[in-house]
Amino acid sequence: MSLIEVKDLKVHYPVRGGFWNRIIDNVKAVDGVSFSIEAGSTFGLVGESGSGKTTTGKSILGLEKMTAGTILYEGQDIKASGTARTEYNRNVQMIFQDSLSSLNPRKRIESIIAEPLRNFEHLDKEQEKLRVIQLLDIVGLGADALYKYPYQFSGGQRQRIGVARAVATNPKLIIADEPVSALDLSVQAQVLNFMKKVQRELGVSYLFISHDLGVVRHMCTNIAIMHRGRLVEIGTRDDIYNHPLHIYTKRLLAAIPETNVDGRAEHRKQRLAIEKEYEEEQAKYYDKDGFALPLQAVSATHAVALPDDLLHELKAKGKA
Amino acid sequence: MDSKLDTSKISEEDLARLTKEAEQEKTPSALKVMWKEFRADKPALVALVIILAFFIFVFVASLFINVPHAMETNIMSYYAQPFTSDFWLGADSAGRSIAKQLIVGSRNSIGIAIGLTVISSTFGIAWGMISGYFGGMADLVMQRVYDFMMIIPMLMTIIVIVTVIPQYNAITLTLILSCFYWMGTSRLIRSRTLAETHKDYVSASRAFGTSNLKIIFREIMPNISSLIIVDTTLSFAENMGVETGLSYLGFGLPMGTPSLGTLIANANDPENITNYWWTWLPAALEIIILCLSISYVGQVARRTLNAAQRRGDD
Repeated sequence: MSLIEVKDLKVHYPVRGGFWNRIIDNVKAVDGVSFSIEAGSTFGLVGESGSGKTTTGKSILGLEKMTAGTILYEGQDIKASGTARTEYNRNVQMIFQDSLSSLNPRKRIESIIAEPLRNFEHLDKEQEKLRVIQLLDIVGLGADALYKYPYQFSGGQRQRIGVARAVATNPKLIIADEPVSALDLSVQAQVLNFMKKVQRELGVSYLFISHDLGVVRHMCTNIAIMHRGRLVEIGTRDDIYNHPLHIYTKRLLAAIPETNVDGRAEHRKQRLAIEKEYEEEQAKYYDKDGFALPLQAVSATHAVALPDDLLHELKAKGKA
Repeated sequence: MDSKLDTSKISEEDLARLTKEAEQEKTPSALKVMWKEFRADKPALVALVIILAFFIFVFVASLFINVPHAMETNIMSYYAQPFTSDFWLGADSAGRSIAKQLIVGSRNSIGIAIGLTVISSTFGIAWGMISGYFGGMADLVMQRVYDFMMIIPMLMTIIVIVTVIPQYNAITLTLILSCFYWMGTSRLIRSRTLAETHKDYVSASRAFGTSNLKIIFREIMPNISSLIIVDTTLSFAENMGVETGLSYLGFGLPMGTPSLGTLIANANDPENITNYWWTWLPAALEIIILCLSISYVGQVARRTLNAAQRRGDD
């Protein structure tokens, strides 16, 4: 049984208009997304901006209202209220993209990190302070940070404070919403390594939301590619990076910059070819409203939103 | 709890030492910063001293004045000249000492202004924050109540209520006024709360299981505290005028209770304006000086809470 299972998640926002302010349309931010995350693993959710990655993460956490779908946590539906819900909130935490705005500017670091502790653990004052110092230690900050304000730290330090806050209650799953996209490259590595260290020590799972394929490759064991609110391809790291089947995935992978100067012309040619293929075959891979087709299993771990004829072709090739 | 995060790694002494070290690194508290700001802005410091000294003087001195006795009509001292040993600031047409009326009247007016500010601001802030935070249906209903209150002709309604109710004194007047002076604050607070509610730290608090009321008053309120303080000081200055204005019109405090408004109402008589300046000028000057001082102090409070505007940093 996986730690968390998302089934057919939909988040639609109504568009109001007309004389009576009726609902005249829906913006389908997330439209039928399903995946599952195993305990102790990192699941990457990749896509361009506006594809619904963050909305997916927030609705798993309960910050966005789901229009439809179920989320099973350790086999239990989280819509069940009461103690199950509190337990779920305690075990699923989040690291936010913008480290400055996600830390309350008027509170000291001690009370920021202690916030989940105060809500879930009910420690006495000494124990609480001890725990906060330990958490700061895990992310490589000293006890002198206790009584400072968020604006007194650099971006990387703030994001590490965000990590410390997220792991405070020993959660089972942390939703990391582009945790390093606002940081410069040297600090990115630092924060990512802290996240990996925390995973090794505490055994948490991550839902890693990002648009940076290099970072995702470094962090994730399973990856899903999202486009216009739907998944277009889902599989292991090997499936996605070495055997991409959907044209959108190929296009994303082609966009990773190459440092090899000698192969520059070749790389450029390949990129242009993929771009041309994308332009020409787009209609085949998306339905008439521009949404991705339903996922089809290609292997035990790999599923792609392929049109039927291509799928048959592929299967025939596989048998031959 | 968790074996990998062993609590025994840090001993009792270590904790005490670490805490002490952290205290030394502590960012100065708001009170210290505010004191620095006052020292950097001399006019504001003078204003603060004026306000505090005047409030203390007025509240203490009025304890020694026998109000009913002071308000008795005394034909013998009809428009007595000021600067005499009996009448420091002269007397009015009924021979009552202006100085005594000024002290007791200031206490009444300031007391009502403080009460009115505390009640109406507290209510307005709570109304605005709850309305802005929850949004949706709650916001809709609460804002329609606000709209309804706004279209009521305020002054007329207050005058009608004041003349209708039987038990009428300073406390009931404060409560009546409070019903009509919370709207401005509530709209202002609501607009800022709407902006704050969509920031990430509120989402974070929700994700970490903090209750709605705690988020409103412990997370969001500190972030709009500069607005609250500025608005409260300004509305305090304004509220001094509310009671004064009503008394000036004759609908404020009951007859026989001195207030700044009744003193200024002496200026209704052209003869008082030209010949007997001491009947109205002291009260008018007092209001001007107090209101100016209050806004100076309000500015310092605002600078304390907004690091970008600080002057006393070095």
